[in-house]
This record gives sequence, structure tokens and C-alpha cells, in this order.
Amino acid sequence: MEAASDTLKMIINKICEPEPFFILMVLWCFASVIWADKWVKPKIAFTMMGAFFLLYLFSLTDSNFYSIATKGDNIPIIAMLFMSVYFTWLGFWRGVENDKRKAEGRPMIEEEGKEVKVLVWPHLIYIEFIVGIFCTALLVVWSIVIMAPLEEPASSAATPNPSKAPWYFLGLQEMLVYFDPWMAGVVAPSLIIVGLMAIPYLDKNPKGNGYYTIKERWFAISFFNFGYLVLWMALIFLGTVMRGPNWNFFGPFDYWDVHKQPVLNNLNLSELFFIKTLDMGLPEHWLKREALGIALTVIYLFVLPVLFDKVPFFKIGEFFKKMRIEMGAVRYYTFIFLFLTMMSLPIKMVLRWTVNLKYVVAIPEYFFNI
Amino acid sequence: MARTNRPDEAYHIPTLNFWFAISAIVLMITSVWMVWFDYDRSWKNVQRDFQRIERDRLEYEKAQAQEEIKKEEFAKLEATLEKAEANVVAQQEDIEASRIELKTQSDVLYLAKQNYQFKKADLADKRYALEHDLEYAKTPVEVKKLKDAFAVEDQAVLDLEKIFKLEEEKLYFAQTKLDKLLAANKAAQAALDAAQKEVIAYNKRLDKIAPNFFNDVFRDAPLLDFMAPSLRIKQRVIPDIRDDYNFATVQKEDRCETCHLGIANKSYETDAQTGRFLSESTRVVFEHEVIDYTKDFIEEALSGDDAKYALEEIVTLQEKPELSIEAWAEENIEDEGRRGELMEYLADAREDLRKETAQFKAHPNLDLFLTSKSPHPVETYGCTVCHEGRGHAVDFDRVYHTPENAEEAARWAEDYNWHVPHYWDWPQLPAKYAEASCAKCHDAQVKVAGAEKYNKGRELVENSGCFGCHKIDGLTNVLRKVGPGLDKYPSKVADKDFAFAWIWNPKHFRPDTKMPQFFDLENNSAPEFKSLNEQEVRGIVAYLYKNSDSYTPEALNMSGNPQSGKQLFEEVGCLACHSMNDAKQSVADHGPDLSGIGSKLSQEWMYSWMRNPKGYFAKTHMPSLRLSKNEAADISAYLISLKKKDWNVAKMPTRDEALQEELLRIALGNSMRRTELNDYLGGLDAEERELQVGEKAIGKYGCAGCHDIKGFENAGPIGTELTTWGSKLLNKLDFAMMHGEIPHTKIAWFQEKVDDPRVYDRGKVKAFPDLLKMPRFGFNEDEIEVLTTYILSRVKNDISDLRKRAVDPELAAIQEGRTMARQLNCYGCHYFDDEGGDFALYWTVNDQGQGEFTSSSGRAHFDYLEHVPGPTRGHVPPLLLDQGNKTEPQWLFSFLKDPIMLRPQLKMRMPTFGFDDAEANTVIKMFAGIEGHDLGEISSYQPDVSLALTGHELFQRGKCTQCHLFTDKVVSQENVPKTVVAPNLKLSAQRLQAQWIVRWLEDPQSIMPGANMPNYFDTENNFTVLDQDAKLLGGDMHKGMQALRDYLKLSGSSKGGGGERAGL
Repeated sequence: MEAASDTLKMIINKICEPEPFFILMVLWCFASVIWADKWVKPKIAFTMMGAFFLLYLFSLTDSNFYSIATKGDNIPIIAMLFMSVYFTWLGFWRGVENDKRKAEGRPMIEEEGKEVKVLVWPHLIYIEFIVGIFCTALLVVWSIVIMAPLEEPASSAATPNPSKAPWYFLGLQEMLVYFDPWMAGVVAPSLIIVGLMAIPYLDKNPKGNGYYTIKERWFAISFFNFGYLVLWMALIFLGTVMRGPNWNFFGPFDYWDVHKQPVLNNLNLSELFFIKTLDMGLPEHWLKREALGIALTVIYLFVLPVLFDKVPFFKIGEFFKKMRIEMGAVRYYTFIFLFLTMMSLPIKMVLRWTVNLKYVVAIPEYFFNI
Repeated sequence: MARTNRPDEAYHIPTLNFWFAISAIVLMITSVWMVWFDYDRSWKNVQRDFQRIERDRLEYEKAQAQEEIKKEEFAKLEATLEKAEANVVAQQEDIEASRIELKTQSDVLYLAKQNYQFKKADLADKRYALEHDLEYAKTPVEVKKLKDAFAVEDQAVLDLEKIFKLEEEKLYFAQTKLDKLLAANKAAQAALDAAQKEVIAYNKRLDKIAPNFFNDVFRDAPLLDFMAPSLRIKQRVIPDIRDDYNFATVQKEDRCETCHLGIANKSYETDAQTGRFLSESTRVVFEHEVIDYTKDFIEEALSGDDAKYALEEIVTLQEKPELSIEAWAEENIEDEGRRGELMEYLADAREDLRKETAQFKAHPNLDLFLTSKSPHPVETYGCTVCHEGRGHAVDFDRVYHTPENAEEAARWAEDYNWHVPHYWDWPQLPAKYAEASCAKCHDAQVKVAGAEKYNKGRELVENSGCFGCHKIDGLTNVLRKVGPGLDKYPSKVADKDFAFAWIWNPKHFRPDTKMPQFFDLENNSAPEFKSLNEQEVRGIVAYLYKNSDSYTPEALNMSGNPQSGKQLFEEVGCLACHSMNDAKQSVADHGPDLSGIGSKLSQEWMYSWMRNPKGYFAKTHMPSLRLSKNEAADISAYLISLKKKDWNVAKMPTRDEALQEELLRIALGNSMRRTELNDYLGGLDAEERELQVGEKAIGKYGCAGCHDIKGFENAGPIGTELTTWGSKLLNKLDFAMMHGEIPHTKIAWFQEKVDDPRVYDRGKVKAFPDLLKMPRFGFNEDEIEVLTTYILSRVKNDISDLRKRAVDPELAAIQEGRTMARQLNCYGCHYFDDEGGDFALYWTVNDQGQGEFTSSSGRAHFDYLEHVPGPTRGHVPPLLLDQGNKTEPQWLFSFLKDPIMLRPQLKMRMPTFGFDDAEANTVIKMFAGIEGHDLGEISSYQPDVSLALTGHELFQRGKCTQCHLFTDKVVSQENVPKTVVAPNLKLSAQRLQAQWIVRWLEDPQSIMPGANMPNYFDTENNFTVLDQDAKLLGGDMHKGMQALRDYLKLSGSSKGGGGERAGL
């Protein structure tokens, strides 16, 4: 029994290492859309959620996981996991149902009873009030049962290890592993906000307005799920449960040993190119040294969108071309810029894992690193 | 929620109403819970418990006080009062009338006073108006008019004042009249009150804590308790002591007394051993509670009359605090099963009560702490400045209490749900280490009175030389290095193999040597490390023999007699510092154990060393005993005959050039490029390389921290600085792989480290140069405990100078002197400063009244005053009590520099330490400082010749010379009369301070408890054995003592009897 549980823990620890964890999350992200009609069936979905919950209960029997999961700070994050799973399912379930109805020519769920109108009071405000009271009671109980996680007086001589951002920024903090602080801390968050603000202006596709659907908006949904569930939620989870002292990676059941040594053998693209590949020294001038990285970056951000549009890479090319025609050139290029920026994170992650890439462009002379 | 099918409704409203009701109830319940959670704090129950106990205690004390009132007298007073009261009743009418008059008069006065005061206020306003108007008045007429008008007003006020004064007087008379009528009654009442003063005081105190609805329920009710609750947190703000919260310091606030309510109360003092309360009242209350616990059981267990009888018995027990209920049960309950049950039940009751009252115990040392008369009143010092922990907190857990031991930890876990604290950097010091905090304010003192463990810890650190490798402010570079200088080492130990064996494992040759073990330990005993270590030690030996000065021992021209050498060795004083474990002579551990010394040193070297230690090592602590050539030869002959059993010096390993090169590459690799290093090593021959290996090893292991070594004159400490180690944060300590084995606390880390300095390499994979280097001292458990106390005392000191022990010149002198006394081991022979004199353990008095040496292994807790009987004291080094008042400083100065014979009966000698003027002065100032004064002005005493003549007669009558010598002549030891046990009085003129002689004669025991000197003068009864007829000096005792003093002062001589073998 114990051996089995140890094996299970070991497997989970392995799966949770950043590489498999991230890859699995990406796969899930697309599989969930492709096989939406299969897994959203309540029986299957709830079995899966139940299994997930059982796994959670099992994990709590591990003292290391227990101490992380029951920390006052982390309880909302755990709750968030379950809520994310539930609401994702809810949206998918309704979307699948609507798609089915549409195929059969029946009205959407949201269209039922559309003609009936009721008064705001009591039908809206009353239930809001009741829910408000229950929430207040819940918060009171929460504050009694779970004490404020106060620690020793702060000291500049003894900072906490790991030093963690507030839980909602843990995704951003995870980005710091792969990007220069200036990129991960300033440029990327700004672009996230700008991008979110831009969505209503970029997306003029009327489909899915006012009703759930999967088939009609599969790309938008996958894209959102990837950005939100994978790059935000999953990274928060990773940052909470699996980043220990010195920001080292630890499996959920590992002891957070301060003495674990981080391996910091990362190389810049210029080093990979000149030293590792050409077996020569680095050019003295930064422009010569970083020319390759700069070129690749320019190609990635500015040539690739055009290529997507102009060159028919099988179906993908056609898809992007269609998108450009439907959205118009300005919207398309804005969108594709934001899209590529977002995708730079997973790309950078993969490059880090595979070739230990530190920066594509590293110009410490001007404090500029990508 | 319930949706409906009605087209105009989304929800079924009655169902929503139902849910609304539910939600309201839930919110109500949670709100009540919230209020209760906030209200229900453990400290409130603690305060309630204390109130109950305190109430019972005061009741008991009140009853005691009541009993003490003399019954008859009290009855008389009561009768008087009764009579007076009857009188009052008889005069009722008059009194009533007088009362009414008084009341009426006071009403009248009230009005008169008001009229007067109002008018006066009015007048002030008018005066202002007048002054204002006068400024603008143009003509004298106008001025006059204004002034006249004001005069009228002024007069009116004066009139009203007159009336007021008059009425006041009337009231006084009315009052006097009434008082007169009631005077007898009042006086009787006052007398009665005076007789029961204490009871009244108890009543007042009891009133304050009596059960009371308003106090106990209303004021302390939930939500109402924000106003003025009777249960409240007791907080002390400590002036001038601040807490450091890293980014800000704040005034210390201690709330400990919220629960520790009896902490400064004498009534709650407990016995250190049993933990029981000492004061009668508290103990009785405790027994009462036990009885209350037991009542039900007895009623249940014993039937009918038995129970009734038993309870009656028990109630009477309450009156007899010396009995315990267990004793009663033992006697009165015959059924063994029953009795067993009751005993069990009682044990439980006691355990419960113990738990309940644990926090009420008073501080174990109220004379020194907390009370306002003590030097550390709680108002000024608080609690956590010494005990640490979080003074702000009022919950057991959040205070970060620290248990004494695992047992207590387990008990706390059960009683209070205690767990190992996180989140606080300064958990409470376990009580056994609390003395560490003394150093916060008393660091300037070498010895802190009352802080035994701390003192011992400091001494151990000084003796073990911790400060050689670890910088400790106040010790490092202040004290001499603890080991002998090695700059002439080859002339002492010629055998390199011996040197190797010694360095490799010093304890092998001498098990109790101070020198610690560096090699062949847990982390470096693997073969590959061991062979490298061997080459390093080879290098060290080579280095030491190469870099040394020459030393030619004094020539020894005779072989010496080991027998007389042995006797001399034992008697002359060697054993006051050295031990000889093989001969079971191990009282002292100041110098090395000399067992088997003949296997180490040559006779010639020892001879030369004893004759003049400073000639070999200028900074040595070893003094000269002024041994003659014969004596030194005898002792050296004895010592050379002592060979260590089964000791063969192994040949040291041969030189391994490859390993030595590897060592040099490790040592130099960081400071030289590869080619440079190759060239450098290529330029050295094998011997030079070995020397280089040795030099590096000496630097690496910090040999120069304890020894003077040529070439290492400027070497600094190699270890972690310990000056503020006690403030080090836990997370800065490396526990290596020791996760479960030891608790993660600073104390546990430290104790493990000093016990086994290499323990934190366990389980680690390390390269040779990274291995931990701290050597193993082999401290025992007690030593580790005192070391822990010391290390915890090394904290960042943020105490205001206002609160610290001020370093005045006297204190500074004492500290300097004590440090010296400790290093030179004055305490080895002499008892002063509450310690020392251990050498006396070797001595007894034989039938002939002579001192006789016997072997001894010492005593664990030696106290000279207790363990050395009077007769022995005459034959061992003298006590130095009251020394600062006793001897003339000039005399002591010359004595210290060049001792003269004072007590020829002694077999041991006062050594010559070779003091320079400053050092001799330091000793003198220390003795003065211990007595609480500096030297002040030195004036010489002018004796009175005529008084001295009487003194001479007293001197004769008192047969002083029976115990004292009184001679200028040289007296050899054999010729000293057997009865002599005291110093030569001929020296008193120069030696003793005049006023001290009188004090000594008056009461020798108060100066030196257990002294042999008889008490001739009984001043209290004005009686002297010397002058029974009271003929001399009119029987005036003080005159008599002065007469003796003047005689001694006049008849003295500066010369002592001397001899070649001068016992001093």
C-alpha cells in the first residue's frame, strides 16, 4: 500500500516537473476543444472531477503537500483550481449542448423563455441579497477558522525563501524565470492589459454572442483557454505548489530543502551560435554579436505574420488568410502581434528546456534582453 | 433556488423567503460565534482562577489576623463602644438638633459663598473695564468719577466677603458642637478599628475582588467589555528598553503579568525542589481546593455516617495546614482498595491544580528580580528583556514559551496544545539558560553574582581558548592565548615523532589536555583524507622545528632524589595548579596533568623550567616557587621517573611528496595561475615543500589562535565571529542532513556542534579543503550546558546605557583583577570572591598538629567555608576574605612583588609571579574593589604609646603567641611550635590596617566564618575573657581592642622570619 502510494507520488512528482506539466496542459487545452462533446457529459466530467478531488485528498495525506496546501495563503488557490475546473466544464457543457441543438435545428438554451420578463425586485435583487448574506457568513466563518497568516517581523536581513509574489501574480513571477525582468515585469504585463482591452475591438465575429458554443468559436476558445488556463492559472498553481526555496522546482510531494542547488547553465543565443556551434569567440561589438538574435526576433514578430498570410502552409495558411480577410489588415496584424507575443512565452520555455537558452537577444550594454 | 412556471415570476417567492430566513439565521449564528471567538480568551479564565485563589487566600489570612486580635482587649473595646453608642442614643435629641443646625448653617454658607464669589468675578470684569476706561479718560474729573464708581463696587465685594467669613465661622462652631457630642463614640470606634487594623485592610482588599454582578457579569460581558472590563490585559511599558523590529525599534511592552499574576507576590513563592507553595495561606488554599475536589468522591465512596464523619474530619484539617489530606486518609481509611482509589483521585486533583496554578508561581528569586526593592524592578526591566519570547502576546502558544526539556514539552503539548514555535526569531530562553541575558547589562563583569552558569560558561570559554579562533569582543586580543608559546618548542620536546603523535591526537598522551583533537574525526577519517592529514601534520612538525628560537636549559649538575622530590612536589604547591591523575591527585586542572610527564620531557628541561619558567616562555602563567637547585633537581628527578604506561611513540608516517604536492596545489591553486604554480613548486625541494605544507596547515587549522608561533605573529582568528552569535537567525545555520535527528532550534544546533564539531558534515559529499575544521574538545554535558548559556549571552546589545551596570573605576579594577586572578590561578590556593582554595582538599592535620598531605581527587561542589575545618585552615594557604580592608596597600604591594615569610608553619609557598608595578596594583585594587571601595587616600596610623602599654598586658594575658608567632628571627619549619597556626604578628605593624585589627578582634567570625581566632571581646555583653576583673581601661571593650591594636602597631617589624625554604 505504502509502496503503491509512494510510486504514485513519484509519478505525480515527475509529471509535475515543468516540462511534462506544461506540455500536458497544452495538450489538454486543445484536446478539450477537439473532444468537447465526449468529456463534457456530466457522468464523465463528474467522474473526472471526483477523481481529481480524490487525488487531492490523497495528496493531503502527504505531509509536504499538506503543509503547502493548508497554508492560509494557499487555500484560495486550491479553491480556485476546483472552481476553474467546474466553470470551464459548465461553459463547455452548454456549448456542446447548444452545438447539438443547432445541428438539430432546435433553439439555443439561452433562447428558451426569452419572451418572458420579470421584475428586478424581487426576482433579481432578492436572490442577490440572500446570496450576499450567505457569502458574508462564509467569510466570517473563514476568518474565524483560518487565521491570518502572520509571520515574524519583516527583516531586510532575512527575507522569506522563496520570496513569492501575491498569488495572482505568480504567473508573472514564473515568467521571470524565462525572461529579463524588464520584459516579464513591464512589457509583458502591459501587453496583457492592452491585449485584453483590445479584444472587443479586434473580435468582430458576432458568433457566440449571448450563447455558449464550441464549434463556432473553437479557435477563440482554445486561444483563450491557452492564455488563461495554461499561461495564467496553471502557472499560478505551479508557482504556489511547485516553486520552493530559491525558486527551485519541487514536486508537490517533495520536501522543500533549502540546500537543493539550482543549475544555472543557461546560454545566450550568441554563445550557442558562436561558441558552441562555430567554436569561435564572441564578436566584440554587440550588434555583430546579437545580429542573429535580432534578425530572428524581427522575423518572428514582423515577417511571420506576413508569411502566415501569404504562404499557404497547408490549412494553417488558409486559416490565417481567411482571418485577415474577415478582420481586415489592421485588426489582423494587431491581433497576430499580440498572439505571437503571448506565444513567445511557451516558445521560450521550450527553448530553455531543450537548449538551455537564456536570451535570444542579450545586450547587457544597454540593459536590453529578450 | 426554486424556479416557477408562472410567467411573471422567475422564482417562487415563499421559497425565497424561506431561504432568506435560513440565511439570516446562519448569519446570526456566525456573528454570535465571531463575538464569542473574540471574547473567549484563555487569559480571562486564568484571571478568574487567580481571583478565586487570591480571594480564598486573603480570607484565610484575614481569619489568621482575626485570631491574632487579643480577645479580652477587643471585648473591652467593644464594650466601650457599646456604652458610647448607648450614650448617643440617650442624647439623640440634642444630636439631632445639632445636626439640623449644621445642615442649615451649611446651606446658608453655600449661598453666602456663592454671592461672594459671583460678585468677586463681577468685580474682576469691572476692574478691567475701569483700566480700559482710565486710558481714555481725558479730564481728572472724569477719572475721579470712574474711580469712585469702582470703589463702591469694591466695597460691596468686601461686605459680601465679611458675611461669608462670618457664616463660615458659624459652621465651624456648629460642627464642633456636633463633634463634641459624638467624640466619645468616635474615639471608641477608632480604638476598635486600630485593634483590628489588619482585618479592615483585608476587608478592603477583599471588597475589591469580591464576587459582584456588576463587575463579573456586566462589565465583562461580551461586547460591553470594551468600556471598563474588570478582566483586562495587564501591560507594562518599559522605559529605555526597546524591541527591534528590524525597520523600527519600539518601546518594550510586556503583557506577561496578564497570566503570571503572582509573579512578584511573595505569597506565591514556591519551593525549588517540589514546586509547592511556601506561604502558609497559599498552601492552605491549595489544600482547600484539593478537599473541594475530593468531597464528592468521599460522599460517594463512603456510606452514610462514615462520609459525614470523614468530611467533618477534613474540615478540621483545613485548620491544620501542616497535615495533608493524604496523610489523613492514610490514617483513617482502612479499606485498602478505597484508600488506593482516593489516593489516585487525589493525585489527579493535585495534577489538575498544578496545571491551573502553574502560571501563578512567583519568580524564584524575588530578592534579585521584580520587586520594587530588588535591583531589577519589573517596572524598569519588564520580563522579556531577560527571558525573551514575545511579550506582546497573551495566548500561551503565541508567547513562544520554550520548555525546559522534552518532558515539559510533552506536558505542555497536552496542557496547552504547545508546539515548536515558528515565526518568531527570539523564542523564550529555557529557564536553565536565562542567565545568558545577564550579560546584556553585565558584560563588563568577569563574574556576575548569582549567574553561576553564565560565569562558568565564560570561564570555560576563556580556559578553552574558544576566542583564539572565534573573535569574541572583550576576549579576543585581550586575553593571552591559552596554549604555550611554540617558538622554542624543539628545545622542550626533541622527539619529532612525539610532536607528531601529540598533534595527531593530544588526548592520546594526556586524556584531559585542553588541546582539542583535529584529526581522525568523523569527517576526515576516510583513508584518502587521513593520508592528506598525516602529511599536513608532518608539515606542521617540520615547520615548528625549523622556525624556532634556541633555548639553553640551566645546567643540571646532580641527579636529584625522587623521594624527596615527590614530597616536595606534593607539598610545596605544584598541585594547586597541576594534577597527577596517575597518583589520584586531581584537585586542580589549571595546569596540565603531569602523569607520565617523564615520557615527554627531559629532566634537564623540567629542572630549568621550574627554576625559571619565564626564561623559557615569557608570558607563562606558571610562577616561580623559588626552588633551590636541590629542590628543583629533586622534583625533576621525581617527574622524570613518571613514565606513561604502555606508551611507545610511533614513528610518524614517511613523507609522501605526491600528497604534499597535492596539498600545496589545493592551498595555492586559488592564488596562482597553473603555470606560475608549476614554476613555484618546481623551484622548491622536498623539504621546502614540506615546510610550505606545514605553514599552510598551521594557518588553515588556526594553531596560532592558541599558540605563539613564529611567522604567525599577526594571524587573526580563523573561525566565525561569536560576538553576536546569540542574535544569529535560525535560518543562517546549516543543519546539513539532520532533519529528524535534532530539533531545529539554535540551542540544539549549538549543542550538537560543540559536542561533535564535525557533525554537520554528516551525509555531505565534500572535497578535502571544504571539510569542517573545528576541533573536538570533548566537552561533557555540564560543560555544554554552561557553554550554551555563554553563547546565548553573545547578543546584539541594544540596551540603553541607563539600564546597564555602570562601569565605575571600582568595577573596572575588580574585573581586571579577577581576570588576572583567574589566569594566574590565585583561586587554586586562596579562597576569596566566593570561590577557590581547592588546594586545601589535600590537607589534613595530624596528631602532632602538623599539616599532612593526602591524595585527593577533589570534590564536585567544593565550598571552602563549608568543607575545610578550622584546624586545617592553619596549615593551608590563607583565606583572603576582607583582604581589601585588611592589609596595608603598601605592604601588600611589596609582598606581591617579593613575598616574605608570614606563616612559617605552612609547607606550601606563596610563589613569585614576577608582577610589575601595574600588575601588583591591579591585584590590590581588585581586593579593595571587592570590598566596595577604591584605595582612596593612604594615611598612616599614629598609635598611642600609653594605650599600647595596656595592650601589651592584654597581649600577654591573651596568650596570643600560642597560635601566632611573634618574632623577627628566622624560624625554620621544624622549629615552629606545634601550636602555631596563624601569621607572625611582628609583621602586623606594616601589614595590617589599624581599623581592621579592631574589627577582627571584635568579631573574627563575621569576617572569616569558621576562623580559628577566638572571640575574646564580647562587646554586646561588655565582657572580655582577657580582663575579667574589668580593671584595665575601666572595662571598656573598645578601648581594650584599641590597646591591642596600638601595641601591635608599635611593636612591629618589617622583616619576616625567612629561610631557604620559606613557607609563606
